[in-house]
Amino acid sequence: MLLFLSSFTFGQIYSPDEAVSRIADNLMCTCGCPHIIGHCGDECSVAPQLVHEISQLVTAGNTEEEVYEIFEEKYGLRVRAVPKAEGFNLLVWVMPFVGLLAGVVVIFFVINRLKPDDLNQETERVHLEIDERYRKLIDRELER
Amino acid sequence: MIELGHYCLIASLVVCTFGMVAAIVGGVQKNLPLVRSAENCLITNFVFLGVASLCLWYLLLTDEFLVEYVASYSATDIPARFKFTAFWGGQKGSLLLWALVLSFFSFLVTVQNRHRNRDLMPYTAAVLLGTIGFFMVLLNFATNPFETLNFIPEDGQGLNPLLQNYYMIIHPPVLFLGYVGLAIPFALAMGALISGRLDTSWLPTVRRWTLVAWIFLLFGLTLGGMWAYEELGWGGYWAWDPVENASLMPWLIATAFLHSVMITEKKGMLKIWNFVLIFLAFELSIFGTFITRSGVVSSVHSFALSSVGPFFVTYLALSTALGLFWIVYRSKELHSEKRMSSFLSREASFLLNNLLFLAICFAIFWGTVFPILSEWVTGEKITVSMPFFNAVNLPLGLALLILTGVCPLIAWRKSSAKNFKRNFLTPLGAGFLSGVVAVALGVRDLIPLIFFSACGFVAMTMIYEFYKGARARQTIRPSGFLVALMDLTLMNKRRYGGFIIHLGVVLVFAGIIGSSFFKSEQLFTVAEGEEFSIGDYTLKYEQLTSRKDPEKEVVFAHIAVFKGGKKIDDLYPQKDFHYKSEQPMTEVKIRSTLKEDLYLVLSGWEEGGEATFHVFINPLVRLIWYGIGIMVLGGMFVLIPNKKSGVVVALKKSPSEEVRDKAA
Repeated sequence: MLLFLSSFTFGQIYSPDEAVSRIADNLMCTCGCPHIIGHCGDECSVAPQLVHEISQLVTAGNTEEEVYEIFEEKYGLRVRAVPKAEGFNLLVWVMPFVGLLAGVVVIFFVINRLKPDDLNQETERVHLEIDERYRKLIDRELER
Repeated sequence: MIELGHYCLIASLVVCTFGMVAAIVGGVQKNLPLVRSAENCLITNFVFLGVASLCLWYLLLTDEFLVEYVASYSATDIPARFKFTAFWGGQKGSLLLWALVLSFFSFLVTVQNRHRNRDLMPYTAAVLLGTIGFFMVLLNFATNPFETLNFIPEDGQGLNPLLQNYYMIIHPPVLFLGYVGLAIPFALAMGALISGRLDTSWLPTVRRWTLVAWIFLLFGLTLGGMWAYEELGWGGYWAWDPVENASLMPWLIATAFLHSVMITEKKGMLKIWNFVLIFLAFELSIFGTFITRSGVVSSVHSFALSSVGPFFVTYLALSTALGLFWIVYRSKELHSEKRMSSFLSREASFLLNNLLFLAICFAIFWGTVFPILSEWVTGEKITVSMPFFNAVNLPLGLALLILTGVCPLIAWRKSSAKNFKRNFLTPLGAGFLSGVVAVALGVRDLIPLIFFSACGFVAMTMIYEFYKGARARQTIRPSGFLVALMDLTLMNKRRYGGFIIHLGVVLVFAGIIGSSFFKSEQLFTVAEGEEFSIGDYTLKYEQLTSRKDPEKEVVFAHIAVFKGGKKIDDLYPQKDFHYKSEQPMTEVKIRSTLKEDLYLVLSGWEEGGEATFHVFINPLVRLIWYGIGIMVLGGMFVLIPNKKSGVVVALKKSPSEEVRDKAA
């Protein structure tokens, strides 16, 4: 019975070295799950085969980028965990930082609309109306 | 029961439609009986949906397989607790749960505001009834949980084995409480905009509701993470799955709002911004439901797919358009009462904090929807997965962590060089010391070192704030330090509750960095009686056995765990083979300590008893769970009402309420 059940599990191991692990973390499993190869669950029978494939390609002397290219050719664009930063897909990397930059510019303009004099006058007026003990407390609080 | 459930759903739709019209007409004509009638509709609606839900639970527990939903998500052989949770195992039940929770929250809002926020309530009720009405349209016409089959199957298909887990009993409803909770601030904000009541007196109610939703979302996200960690067997807790992202986004925006609302309440600034954040948080919660249900992106939550996507898109578009219209319409009345004084002020740092939350949210949103966008433009299917989210969010997360420590140290209005130097010296020293300790413990990589130093800096900032506050309290009211600390914390729950949350954030960051940068994993194929080692642990594979449970066959390995030559534990990683499922399920076994988790997966076995184990050492994972626990407790602490709040509320009554009170 154990033998029969074992046919559902992958059973076969590959010891990926660091380069293989890194590449496996940048490629998607092709079993239909939404995970990278390194994170596809232990029920997956495809992920170990893909790791083995990467291992063979690395051993054969292919560079990291070459392995990605070979995988892309074999399994399609979707196999890359992030698309190559070129053409329209460059936007995936650029836009978050463009958004951040735009936010910084907006904040700069918001803060530049200063009216410090109004605020100082208001503060002075309030100070005159409260006793010395509380003024010291408030000053201390404001300095914090 | 089937008919009763049907009729309750129909009655709920009728009540929603009548109530919405009554609320709007009552609001416009200032007709109090009509408004009360609409509010009563919210209460009645809760009763109808409560009865409908009880009917579905009854049908699930009594194996009424004539009902298509029961036949699809339950079975005679699954334990009663999973029959109970099958309620939210599929789409129809999930949507009914959404509506039930929303009607419960609406009921609470109605009771809470019987004598408060009266100007807002007609429109708030209309928005709530409209939202529940949307779900009623779905449940009555598109995805009815009481729909019957033409025949009665002998047995049901059963619940997805992935969902037969104790986290799944609680994860979906808690997450729903968070999602749905965001509808209340949305409705109140819409009420404020439509009624023109644009002062800040209604903001505490919105803030509290947002905090409630924030706590539930955080707790729900964590339970989801724990489920993934223990159930999926890949050694991690967060995979940047689109559905995970969809739950994280509204939480991020709600967090931004909980910070920016402080500026509005204290300074009367950022009013429009707050409306935008409230609307965005709600729309993202609907977007999250849409992502989960529509199947437009590939996800581990694919068990929940269906064709209700277009309904959600329509509702999303309508509610966004309505919200934007009212913001633009009222924009002239929403000007800030004061201006920013300096770049070096607490107000400015809060703005920057908001910017970072939004930037992280946008990056996640962008990465989640980009594959769809790219396919539209280029015609090619692509994937945007973990490497993108990690790379983009790492610097943003670091900036946010540092800012968490910087904000409390900067004075309101404008910081002087003197107070800047005085306030920063101790926390910066602690940050430096943390870095030195990390190096001494063997951390050599620059990024973790920076993060651990930032954690030390932020932690000391928070501790120092408690210390300074308690000392100041002692000068006003002489007492022991601990009494002063307690007094101080209880007197200003919001401020110090916030600091408690930030201390939790520090632990979460330390845990994430520890478990991401120092994780190790290895595969071992060993024979029975053989030993293998990873990290400080030596594991001995004793034997492989199996047993038959009523609903599954279980194969498990006995692993003895040794450390320093001494046996410290026995672990039994297993694989489950559910009779109705074609896929084996991994049951991970974890030996968890504060320092690290020993995470053991039985991957497979071969003739002769040889077995393969996937073993992970995940450092500091417990810090994440503890940190989130502290954040949740901190949030709950903030929710405890202050004794003075009644006075504050009384002082902040709107002019119309004052007139009405005088008349009474």
